[in-house]
Amino acid sequence: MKKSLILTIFITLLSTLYAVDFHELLLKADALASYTESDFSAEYTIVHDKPGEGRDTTVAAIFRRDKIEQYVIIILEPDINRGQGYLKLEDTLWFYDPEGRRFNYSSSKDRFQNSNARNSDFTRSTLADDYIVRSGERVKLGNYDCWLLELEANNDEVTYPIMKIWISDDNLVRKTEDYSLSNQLLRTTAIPSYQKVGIRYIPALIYYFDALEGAVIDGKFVSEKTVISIKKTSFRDIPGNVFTKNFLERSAQ
Amino acid sequence: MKTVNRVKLAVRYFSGHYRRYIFLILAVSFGFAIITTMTSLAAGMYDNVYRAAQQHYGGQLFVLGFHKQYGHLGLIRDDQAVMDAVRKLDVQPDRMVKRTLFFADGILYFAGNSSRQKNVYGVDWDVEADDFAKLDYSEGGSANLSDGKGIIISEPVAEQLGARVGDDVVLKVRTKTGQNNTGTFVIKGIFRDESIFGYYKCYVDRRELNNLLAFEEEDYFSLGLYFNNAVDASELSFQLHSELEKKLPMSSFITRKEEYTFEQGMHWEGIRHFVMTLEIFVSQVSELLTAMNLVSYFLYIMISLIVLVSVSVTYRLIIHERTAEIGTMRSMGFQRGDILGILLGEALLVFAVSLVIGALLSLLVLWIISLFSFSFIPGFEIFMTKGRLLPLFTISDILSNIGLLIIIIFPALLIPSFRASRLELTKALGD
Repeated sequence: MKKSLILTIFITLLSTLYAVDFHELLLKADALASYTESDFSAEYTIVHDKPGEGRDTTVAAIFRRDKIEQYVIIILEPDINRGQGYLKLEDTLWFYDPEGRRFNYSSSKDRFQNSNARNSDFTRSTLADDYIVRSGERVKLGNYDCWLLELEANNDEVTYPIMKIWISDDNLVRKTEDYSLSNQLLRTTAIPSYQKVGIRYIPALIYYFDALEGAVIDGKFVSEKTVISIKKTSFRDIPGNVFTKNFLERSAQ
Repeated sequence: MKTVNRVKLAVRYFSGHYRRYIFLILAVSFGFAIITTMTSLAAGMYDNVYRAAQQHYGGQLFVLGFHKQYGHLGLIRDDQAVMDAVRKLDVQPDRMVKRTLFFADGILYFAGNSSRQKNVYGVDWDVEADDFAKLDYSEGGSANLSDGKGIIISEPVAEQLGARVGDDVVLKVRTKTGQNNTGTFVIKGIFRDESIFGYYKCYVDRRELNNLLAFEEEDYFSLGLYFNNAVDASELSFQLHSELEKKLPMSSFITRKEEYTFEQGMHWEGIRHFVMTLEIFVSQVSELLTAMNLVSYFLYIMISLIVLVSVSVTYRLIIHERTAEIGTMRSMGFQRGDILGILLGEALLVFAVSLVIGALLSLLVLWIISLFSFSFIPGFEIFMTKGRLLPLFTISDILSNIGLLIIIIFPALLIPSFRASRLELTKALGD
């Protein structure tokens, strides 16, 4: 009895000594997915796959200035949506449609071009700011040894109030699950590979699986999914006039 | 001569010479049938729109609360102040209905399919039990909803989802601060709705919806008041607004839809309350019906003129044929007043028989119309009940139709009768 008590106390002390600081882990993951020290631009190819209905592809040019949380997205393909654009300035997200030559308010929480990605997926990561870690455990995700963290929003304004996140030992986010306030799984995101540009990491492929939308095929539920591949990445400075409405209008001409 | 005798003679002449009146009766019956059909259909169409609007908005007079910072979500928190104001109304409502509304962003999911809902209503099933029982269900109904986990959806939404009664659907909404939230509901009823107010809507328990939206359990967006008797909604609306203004932040007093839209576009902090009548909500439909009524009144006048000419010509001929007969009556000692009384008695009989035949003819036409679906006419479904055009007979419409016919026909009957009664005896017998 005495021996087991000593053993328990010893294990508790040991685990406290070597306890992982989960908040620190989130900060590192955020840092790798945010580019606050330079601008970032890339070409995103977004393939939206609706089971039973086929695929549609959107190509977009993305310009990010993470240090002041601004971004511009210009749709390059398909032709029917060419020239449409998004501009995030402070807390406002504008959507520009060249057909009506009008800017309308949009929400970061809305779906991007009707895909499974959200407008908020194109900005810097703020996991450490918005969530607290409820629990963490070591798990294996494919070939990766990961921390699986259960997150709960610390404010009531984030789109997903509950999340599960898999962070590999190189501090890269490999998978997330997004839940509703009532704990219903809404979306799964997988990032199987990253590309290294200098000292920075950029996802090469991102998969989004919708947990509620899809189709039942041969008696099995098949999720609607979106695959984003990121190419032509650059960390060169972007002129300030890119982050303006005027730029969106000119790009559409 | 006594009036009774004049009536007896009028009946005897009418029954003896009814063949003379057949064309006249047909003309008047036809006119009355057309007018009755048109007015009862117009009333039925308006009634259909009005009832659909009542079901859609949940009342006849409303107090609404809007919280600008909650986006599309409306909210009333000070229930006590609202109830106090209602109690001070000159006419007390027969029923009050509280509803929560999640506008535009609700999505239903089933087996991978989704359906975006224009309106997700949170209702008190027990308070609105009668209204939901009256919906036209294609499957299930409004029973067994008391556990709060039931949902009623429209037929097109059920088809879009591929769902049936008994299936579990997931409803996704956003809380007042924009977080995703979901609830699972069991489909209890699938209703047909072809009203102008759209069928992308569903009904769930108010407290369950409040919970999903992160509202307090007893919060609501609209208080709808129902009145059994005809009331002056504008006057009551003014009273309610005046009372509420003493205690709550209010919009300006609203009398037109445009004012409502303007007020909605303004900026404010917290909750602002609005008092609205159903007539304001359906004003655009009312304007459409008014335009339709103008067309029908034009037809109405044309038909009236045709009837007037037909009656006038026919009755003159009838009187002309009876000139010798009138002369004989005069030679037998009938006074001019007696002749006029008898002729008017006959005219009254013609009129009464024509009304009965016209009413029966109208019922027949309306029954035939009710057999056909007019869904093929784009947008026309808003005026129909279960895909059919149904008439509504109101006392005021029937009386005004009869009155109008009297105004048109009686001069056409009275003038020839009066002239015939004034004929010189020699001239009458000479003809």
